[in-house]
Amino acid sequence: MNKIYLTLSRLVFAISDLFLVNLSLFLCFYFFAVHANPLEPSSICDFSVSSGIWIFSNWLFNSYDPHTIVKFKNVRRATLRSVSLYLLLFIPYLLIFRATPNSAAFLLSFTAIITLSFTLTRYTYTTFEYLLIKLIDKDEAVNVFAIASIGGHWVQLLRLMPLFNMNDVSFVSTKPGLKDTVDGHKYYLVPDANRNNKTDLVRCCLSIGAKIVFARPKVIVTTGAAPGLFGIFIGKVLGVKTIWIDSIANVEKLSLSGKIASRMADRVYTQWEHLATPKIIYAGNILEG
Amino acid sequence: MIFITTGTQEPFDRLVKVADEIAALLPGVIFKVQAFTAQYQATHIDVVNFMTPLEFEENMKNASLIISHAGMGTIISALVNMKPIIVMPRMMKYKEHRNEHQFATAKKLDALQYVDVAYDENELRSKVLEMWPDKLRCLHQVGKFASQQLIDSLQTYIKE
Repeated sequence: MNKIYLTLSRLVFAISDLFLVNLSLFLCFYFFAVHANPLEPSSICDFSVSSGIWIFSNWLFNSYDPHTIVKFKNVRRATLRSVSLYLLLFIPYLLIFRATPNSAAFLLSFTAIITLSFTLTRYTYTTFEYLLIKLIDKDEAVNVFAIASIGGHWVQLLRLMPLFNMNDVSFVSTKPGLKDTVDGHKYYLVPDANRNNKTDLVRCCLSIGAKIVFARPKVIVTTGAAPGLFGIFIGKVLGVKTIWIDSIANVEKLSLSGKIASRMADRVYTQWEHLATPKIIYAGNILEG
Repeated sequence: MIFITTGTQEPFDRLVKVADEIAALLPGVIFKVQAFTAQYQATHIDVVNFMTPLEFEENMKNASLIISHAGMGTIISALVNMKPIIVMPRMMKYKEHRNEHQFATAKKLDALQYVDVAYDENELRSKVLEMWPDKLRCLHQVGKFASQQLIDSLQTYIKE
């Protein structure tokens, strides 16, 4: 029942956004007289393309996701990114197909209106959604991506199974045989990669990116190594919550991947108390059950 | 049965060579050896490049002693299965790994007395011959899962 309220509220949000973006476009068209008649075929075509690009940009950056909506920080990020992507795709379209005498002024006004109106509506809506969530308790399994390459990283990841059983987990790793070790859970295979082979790194990164874009995880947890780092990077760009757990094998210092991850991930854990810093958390390890 | 594994990433010929020598000294003992694309040609043992996770698990269960590189995957499996294990860390100076973290891990686990550690081939050979077959012991044992503290911390953050 709770989920229905939230889905409905987000649907209203998405439709009003779509209305707003097309209204802004209509006003700019009208003001700069781009189309003689707002109902002519070329105008209808513009509104359709605009809507399509708008839906894609917002889907890609999780703008209507509960995780995004309930936090102001995430809303700002998702709005900025989705509006930028929308403008990046839609403005070239307008430039190519709808050259007007005032195109510079037109594009500038359009950009300004879109940016301003969406900053305002998103914050208003987030406040509303926040209050709504406060009213209805939300306790459901979270869609989690658990990523690790084969070997010690994978063994350490599997020891977090009680965590994954509380959530809706999909495992991601580099060997087909590992599917048997996580029977009953979703398993995605990606190409193996280490830093010695650049082509493999690119293939691995693209494959993980595709899986994240299509499976829409809310959280990414990884114990390393390269595939996990790609997961953190892509997750961060797409506004997914990212968690790096540095391998217990790194006793004297964080791994190189761990150091890179600590600049990007939302949260970084070390498994050794003496390596903890204000930013790098120690909260037990994967060994002592 | 003695199960020897070097992980799936890079060759570790020093370990395969000393395992071959030990096998020559212990006739009648079965050796299962997994080592990735080793150059060294063993004469007393059969070496396989790769094992599926289930084959690995089965060998782990059936072995009386594990000999391995200082990789956490094997170490954790041995501790969970309460198996005696001797680890020999890969060294960067022999180009067996990209850094010295295996040496650091081995030193730390040695200090904590979780596993037996051999820092070179001679030490490994003498440790095996000294322990086999009646002085084998499992130094430390762990449960199936990570510490509850870590799982709670992660779950709280996921739900945030």
